[in-house]
Amino acid sequence: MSRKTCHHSQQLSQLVDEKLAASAKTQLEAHLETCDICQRALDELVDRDETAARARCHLGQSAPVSDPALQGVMHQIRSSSDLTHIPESVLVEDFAVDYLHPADDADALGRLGTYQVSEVIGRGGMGIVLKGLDARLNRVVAVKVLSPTLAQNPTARRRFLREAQAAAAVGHPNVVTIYSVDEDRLPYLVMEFVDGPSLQKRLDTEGFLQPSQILRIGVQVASGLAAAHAQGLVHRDIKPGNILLENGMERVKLTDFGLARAADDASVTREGTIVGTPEYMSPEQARGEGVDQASDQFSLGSVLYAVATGRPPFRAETTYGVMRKITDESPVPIRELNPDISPTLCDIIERLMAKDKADRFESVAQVHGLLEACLNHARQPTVTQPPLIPARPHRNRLSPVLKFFAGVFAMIAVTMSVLFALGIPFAPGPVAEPSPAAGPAAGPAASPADGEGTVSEVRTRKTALEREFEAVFPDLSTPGTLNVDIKRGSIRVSGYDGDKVLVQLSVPGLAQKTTGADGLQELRPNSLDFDVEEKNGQIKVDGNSYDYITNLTIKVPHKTNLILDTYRDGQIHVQDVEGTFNIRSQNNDICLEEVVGSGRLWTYNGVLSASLSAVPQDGKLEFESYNGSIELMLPADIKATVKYRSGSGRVRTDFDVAVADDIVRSVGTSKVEFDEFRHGTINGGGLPLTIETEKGDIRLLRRRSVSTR
Amino acid sequence: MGVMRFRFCGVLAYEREIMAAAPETQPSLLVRIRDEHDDESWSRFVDIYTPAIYAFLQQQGLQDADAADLAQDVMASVARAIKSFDYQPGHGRFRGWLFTLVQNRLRNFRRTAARHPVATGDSRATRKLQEQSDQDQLLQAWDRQYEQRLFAAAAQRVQPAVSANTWQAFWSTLVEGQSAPIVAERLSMSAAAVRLAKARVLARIKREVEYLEGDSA
Repeated sequence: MSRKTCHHSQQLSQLVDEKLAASAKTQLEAHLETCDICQRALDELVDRDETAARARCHLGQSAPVSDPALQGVMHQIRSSSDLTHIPESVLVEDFAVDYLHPADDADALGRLGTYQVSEVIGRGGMGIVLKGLDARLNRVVAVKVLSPTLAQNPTARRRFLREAQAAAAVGHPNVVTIYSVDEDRLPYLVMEFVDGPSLQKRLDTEGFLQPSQILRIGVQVASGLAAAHAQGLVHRDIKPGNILLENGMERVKLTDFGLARAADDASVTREGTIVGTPEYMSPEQARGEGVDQASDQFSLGSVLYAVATGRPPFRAETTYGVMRKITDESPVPIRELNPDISPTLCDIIERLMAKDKADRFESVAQVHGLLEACLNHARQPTVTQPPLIPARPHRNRLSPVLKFFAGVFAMIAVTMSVLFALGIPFAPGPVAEPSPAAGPAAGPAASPADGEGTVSEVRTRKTALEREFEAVFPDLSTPGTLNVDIKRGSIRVSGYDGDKVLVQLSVPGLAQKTTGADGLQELRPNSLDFDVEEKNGQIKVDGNSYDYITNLTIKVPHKTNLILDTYRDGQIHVQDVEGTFNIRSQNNDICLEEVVGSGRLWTYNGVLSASLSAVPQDGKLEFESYNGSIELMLPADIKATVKYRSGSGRVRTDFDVAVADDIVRSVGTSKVEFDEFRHGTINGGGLPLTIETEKGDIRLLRRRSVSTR
Repeated sequence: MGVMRFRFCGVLAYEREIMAAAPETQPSLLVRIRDEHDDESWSRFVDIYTPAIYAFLQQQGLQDADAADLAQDVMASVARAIKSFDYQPGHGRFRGWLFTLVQNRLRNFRRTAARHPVATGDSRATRKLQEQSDQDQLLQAWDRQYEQRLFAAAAQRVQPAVSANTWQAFWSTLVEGQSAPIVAERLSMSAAAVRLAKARVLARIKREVEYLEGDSA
């Protein structure tokens, strides 16, 4: 068949793309009705288009989006006005993975610069540590990548690079060697890969060490540190996590020189908050003063204390609590915890940990010498003598009482300035109006001596990228008022036995309302969608506004019924509360700790974790998480009905139960699998237990007796 | 957007008029989501790509909750990358870039899972996780999920904009592969009208797809 053409065919694509004027369009459409050539040309136009093949292949293939797990996550992503804020914990953790280029080697995670990255080996406040291969030298390396948040801060970035260069100059067998510093979108540092755990890990798994091991570690750390000090460097963050153990314990290597400083620039000075664990900080660091080589001595002393006793010298629940102990309190004497430690070593550690840095040693080199002498003596007790510790310089000292008050005042001043830096107005007394004009001079008003409106401890800390705010009222004999401006965060409730405190929250831009109540702390934030009701011994928090709340502690009197509802977002942490509870969160975790009572917990996407110290007889407990997992710790002897259900999460309990076989396919292992929705009852130890699950797995831990019926 | 859909052959008056009114000169979705205040575009973006990532991860043997977690991580990374301009439209195909993100996350997840086998739960899933899929197969599976979502989203937008008969004509001929005359008879249309409907709807879908994954600013 000869191929005929029609001049109208030229215009067909315009007709299809709807680009012809009305008259031309009508004309061509009429022509098309009768022209086979044009019709064929039209079909060819479609067939030639690769979109036609793609459409044919993929249209009508995709299933509707109905999966609950998917719906949940889409809801969460969509409903956030500022997406970069939602899964921040995840962002901080795994950011580096996103910055990797596709790897040449299929087994590698990706490529950074010229390094093939095989895995993530560590994470910290500064960034992430990757294991990589330098293909040119066939050398395994550790690559430390600065976190994107810090990298955005030019000062932090510069300092990261500069400090790394300085640390690279140390060159000592007890200091991790730095090979190079580079940038591939993010600055990174290539270091010697040390194949072994950190001292922290070792402490976590095995507790305190033998005296000879302590000395071996001490000598090596002091040696590396002394070499760095000789170069004029300050480590600033000596802690067990930064001490790596190679070949068991043969070689100890100190890492992360000066890097804490880059983080300081980015966060401490900008927001006035503290980063990371403070357990090994020196008192001057805790007070926010200058840090020098003597501060490293204190931290070294704290590390030696930890390896000698198996625990850090200063422990408290909060960062602030630890810092206060560091500045004000003496640790428990080492020999009370571990009598095997020699008096000489105890003296050295005590002297390293002198609160006043003038009371510490002249230099770490001196400490190194002393520790080495101790080690020699321990090896050959008959040949060598234990070293003599040089006398402390004589000085006039403040009485301990005065020192305590000086410490408290310094801390209050820091705290107040932190509060102001955070934009949190603080007004003592029952004054509703926040008074931003009251600068740090208002500090002493927060001292315990002040009468009315006392808030004697205000704690701030930083976790991940969120600011947390926590107010604690230890003296509850007088009413106190605290005004805070809050944005975004979670809520924490803990019990107390006091009676009269008023907490007022204000959301910027909205009018303030205040209500007081006897025997109960009342929370009444002033946003339209956040409300706390108080009614006959009940406290109720209701609404959606957790985007606007920074972590807030409410203390609830015992035997208070608690209703918390953060339907949209917000973590809930309830601690040491007695009463009934009914708690709901849309996307975040709910955690009960040491709670006495019964009630219901529900979350759509969060993790439920509940540890109850007692449940009333015939009480009812209900736990439901649509997508999250559930972890329960209940007292062994409770007589209560427990019901829990997880859509696709995992369930872990510590119950002692017998398992009914109509719902359980595999008995005898600690894992029970369900393919689809199942429902049934498990009886055990007088504890009726209902389990429902779709798709999830259920793990029963610490099961002592299992019988099948 | 930079992908010009107009051919400037003989700029006639009516063409200029149409161009002025044409909505498709707007920037592509990938450009629009950089606007923090454009919630609608972001929502649309989430609706298309989250299910693609999720379905892909499920296909790779991940449990629902894990697939959802990872999908969320990836979307968060996308949001951050877009916000911080780490992803520059036009610097490569979006789908490939997204695949790299997904793949990095998946590998990292598998490494963690392999290191803590207890935490993964389901033994069948664990077994599946341990089987490293072939890269080509991965890419194919990804392409399939991605294209399905992309075309479904485009169709969803085009279908309400055309008459029911036009849509039927397109669907029966192009997707179901029926011949134009048969479809014409069923819909009481001329075969020419069916062919034109097919071509026009396809052209609209093509424009929509270009809008959705267009890389250029």
